[in-house]
Amino acid sequence: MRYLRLYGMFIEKNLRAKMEFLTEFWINLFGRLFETALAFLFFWVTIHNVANVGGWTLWELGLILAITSLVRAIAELFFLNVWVLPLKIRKGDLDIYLTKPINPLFHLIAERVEVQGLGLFVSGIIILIWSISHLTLHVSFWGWVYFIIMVICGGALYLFLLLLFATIAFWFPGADTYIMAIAVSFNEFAKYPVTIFPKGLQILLTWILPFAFTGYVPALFLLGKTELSWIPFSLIPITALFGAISYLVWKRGLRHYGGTGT
Amino acid sequence: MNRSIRPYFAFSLQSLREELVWKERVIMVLFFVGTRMASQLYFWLIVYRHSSVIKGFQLQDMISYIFISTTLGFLFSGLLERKLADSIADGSIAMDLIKPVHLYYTYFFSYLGKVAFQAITYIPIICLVGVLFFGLHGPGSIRMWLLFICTVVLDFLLWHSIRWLFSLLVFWTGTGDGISRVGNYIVTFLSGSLLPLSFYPAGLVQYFYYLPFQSVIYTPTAIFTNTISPITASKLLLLEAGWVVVLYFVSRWLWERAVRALTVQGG
Repeated sequence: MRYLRLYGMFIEKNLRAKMEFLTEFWINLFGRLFETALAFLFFWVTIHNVANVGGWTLWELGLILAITSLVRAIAELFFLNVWVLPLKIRKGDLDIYLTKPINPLFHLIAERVEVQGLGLFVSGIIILIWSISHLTLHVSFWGWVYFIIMVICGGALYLFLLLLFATIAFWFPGADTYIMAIAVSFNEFAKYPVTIFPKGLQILLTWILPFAFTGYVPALFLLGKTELSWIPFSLIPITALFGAISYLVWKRGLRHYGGTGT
Repeated sequence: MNRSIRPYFAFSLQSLREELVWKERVIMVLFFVGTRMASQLYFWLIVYRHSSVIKGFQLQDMISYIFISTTLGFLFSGLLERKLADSIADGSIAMDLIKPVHLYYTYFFSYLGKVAFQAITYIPIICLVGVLFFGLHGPGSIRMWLLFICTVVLDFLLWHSIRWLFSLLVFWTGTGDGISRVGNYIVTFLSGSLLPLSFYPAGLVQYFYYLPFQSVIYTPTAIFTNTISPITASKLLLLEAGWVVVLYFVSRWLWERAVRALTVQGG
């Protein structure tokens, strides 16, 4: 409860700071819209030039893309500060969080709200509705409810994966921006149907670093394409598992951070 | 001339040294470039299973195209905008401005240092992997090789001007994150790093030739993959050189305007 109130205060403080730079706010918002639009354009132009993309239609690819945008929007809107964790580790800026009487991880991720994530959210919704209107889906009411749960869970899973990547910087402080760039390029894989990749990579993206669950799997669920109907339902336990793993690694990393004494 | 340039090489050396500090970064970077290319490569492998030629591109051309455009994009990457934006936000730009060096050249030479480091360390490894495993063979003739080398050198100057121009917008917006992001998307879309320009509708692409961005990725990549004739290549090279000159003067002019618009908060 106390944390919820604190989070509200963090958001308020943040929005005020953001409003100082209104031009920047708008540029960022439109930049995010543009980002999803570019990814969609890539599929659109490609599909108009080729006969077949492994049996996937433009709107099916659009559906996957829309879900990845929504998932990222959720993670970035509220918890983007994970991004700068590696930088803070390298510069020794983490000390500030350790001296406060609240959970340092909570403090770190709640400290910044990225309103620009809204751009990602809006573009995700547009492409989602656009794609769905071109597809014939057979999804019940409860199916839609579960889909929304999947997207929210996907957001959490994406956040945990980012955190897992960021904590590598505890042991390799020089990694800073590149380690997050690697996390993002893994997320690039999530924009495509996982089946286009070789078997080894498929297993990696589904069960080891489950980026597939942040786009492909929810789309499969809507399209009803999966033969293994239990796969979409494994999202919730996987999210919980990765939440626990990333938190434990963070804890270990913190101990390591204290040990080096930057 | 020689004397006025010499102090700036210190900035190149400095940024080169900064890169050397963290050894583990080398593996990270190679991994990053690898994953970047992999998702695209697999996508095109699937696409080419059903069509052998797309807009004059065979599978091997496409593989080379992705390889070269990603490599160039990485080679000329830098965080110039962020650096300039930070120095404006925290006011340290005031100190930079009173130094007896021109800030334009300071940034130019530290960018040169970074690019030189990346060219020496990563590029040979990436190219070796390309040649051994991805059938990369490069321009067909010595003439095309020369054109390719010229275009890459010009490309460096062009990248710097484009980045510099985007960075200068920071003087008016205050922070740099959004600008550098939007700048990247614009370049990605118009330069041919998203898709070869010939894939776009012809009605749209003809306007791209009036913009400097296609020289950044499309020209060097098209020369490397032999997808254009030597005559077209020479023309594109001339166009690129023209853009380098034009953008140099535009960036000097905008710089003068920007400095006048600068307000540093606090003291």
